[in-house]
Amino acid sequence: MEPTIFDRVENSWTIAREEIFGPVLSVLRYKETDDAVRMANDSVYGLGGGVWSKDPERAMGIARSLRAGTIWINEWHLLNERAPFGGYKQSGIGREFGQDGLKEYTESKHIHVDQAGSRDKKPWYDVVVPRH
Amino acid sequence: MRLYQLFINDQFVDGEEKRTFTSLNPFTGETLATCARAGAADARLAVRAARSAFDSGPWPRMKREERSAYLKKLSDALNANAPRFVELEVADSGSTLKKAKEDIYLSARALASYAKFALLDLTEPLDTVSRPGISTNILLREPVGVVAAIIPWNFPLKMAVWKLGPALAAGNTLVLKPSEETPVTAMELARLIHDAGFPPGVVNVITGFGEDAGAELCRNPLVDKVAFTGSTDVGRQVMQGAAATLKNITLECGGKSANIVLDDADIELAVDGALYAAFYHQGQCCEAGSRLFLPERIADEFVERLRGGARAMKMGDPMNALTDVGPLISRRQQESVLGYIAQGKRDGGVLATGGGIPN
Repeated sequence: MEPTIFDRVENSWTIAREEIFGPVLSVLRYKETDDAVRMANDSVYGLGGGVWSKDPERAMGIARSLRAGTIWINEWHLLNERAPFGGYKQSGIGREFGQDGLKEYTESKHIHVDQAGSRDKKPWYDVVVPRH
Repeated sequence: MRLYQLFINDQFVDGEEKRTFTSLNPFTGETLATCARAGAADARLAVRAARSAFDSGPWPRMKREERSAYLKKLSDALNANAPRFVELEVADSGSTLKKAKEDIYLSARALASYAKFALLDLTEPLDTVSRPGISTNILLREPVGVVAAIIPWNFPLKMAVWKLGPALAAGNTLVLKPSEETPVTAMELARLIHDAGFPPGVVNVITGFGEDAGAELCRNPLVDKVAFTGSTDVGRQVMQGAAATLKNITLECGGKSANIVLDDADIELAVDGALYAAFYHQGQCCEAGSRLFLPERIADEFVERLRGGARAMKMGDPMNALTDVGPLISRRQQESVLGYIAQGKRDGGVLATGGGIPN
């Protein structure tokens, strides 16, 4: 299939809302950056996002506003098994990679070992059980 | 033509009902492999093997260094067999040779990385909770148990490693079900696992379909965790299957990722980046940059450059080192994409380039 590009797409259209999983790119035009961010976040998905700019502060500001699990600034696709990856909203639950990803495959167990020893140090007497 | 059986409890076996299915080369249409088709009963057998390996086998009780050594050994074995894996990955998934080489290299590297993760002691002393004369408190992190992993067809080997790596590094045992579209490199990995001498039942790989084998893995009470990567639609079904027994789940599902170009961007770089974001692996990536937001002021020039860049990409045989754009995974997927293109036209989208199937 030929790489396909649609121009002047509206964010409400099917091709802008549903995942196609093929070589189809939708181009949406905007006037104010706030509109672009608003439209970007207006999706049930939140897996990735990107910003292209020579201004690092501007780019980082937008990166912080995008509701997605991975934001690339002047890049795309690059991942690392030490950097957690995953989705906001209907893009997923949990994260892969990194220690966060590893913890998803574990259960945590809190063990509390009493060091008080004697009865008179216990705080819960006379709450339910009377102090003898 | 290759023949693959199920890998359960360190043995290669047929499915109980002796059913099979074939995997096609998406570019040539030829049959690449015949695989045993696991049904629900086979899935249950694999789960019991993983359960037994976890509850009474050596794996969770080994020292961290020992588990780490197994993962490193598997990484080395994958590196040693890389050319064969690359060729099979191209043939089974339609990945370009360029992509497949990178995928196999990164898979081996990921396994080596998980071998290091396996050494981590994630215990936390909880110093701020412990108080002298009151209590000492500690937080342990233990393996969750038996993990069922269900993976997609776009990065077959990488997806297998991204589940196997952390699951094993944390001390779990695993049943992996690769996509029925791309079973081959997962089964080749099973062979490496067998040869590396992993204790029986630690890793089980069953080839089959979601409707029976996959569904069984999601709802089987002996499974502690389901880890899924695939479409949001199927993710929903996985979650529903797992709900009855409140399983631990992680889901990596779909996306419609937004790529925003600002008016001060390096235009040439942003054009190339947008093409890479949208068309890598023919757009068959959950994190594809499928919505491109352009400032009105530079949009016309940008789209013109995009058009040129898209048309310069070489379509063709993925086995050819010069090919940029390989085939889609299947005829069904192609029809789905064509359906979306037709909808885009109906809604009034301006087709800048493409929209068709090359001869």
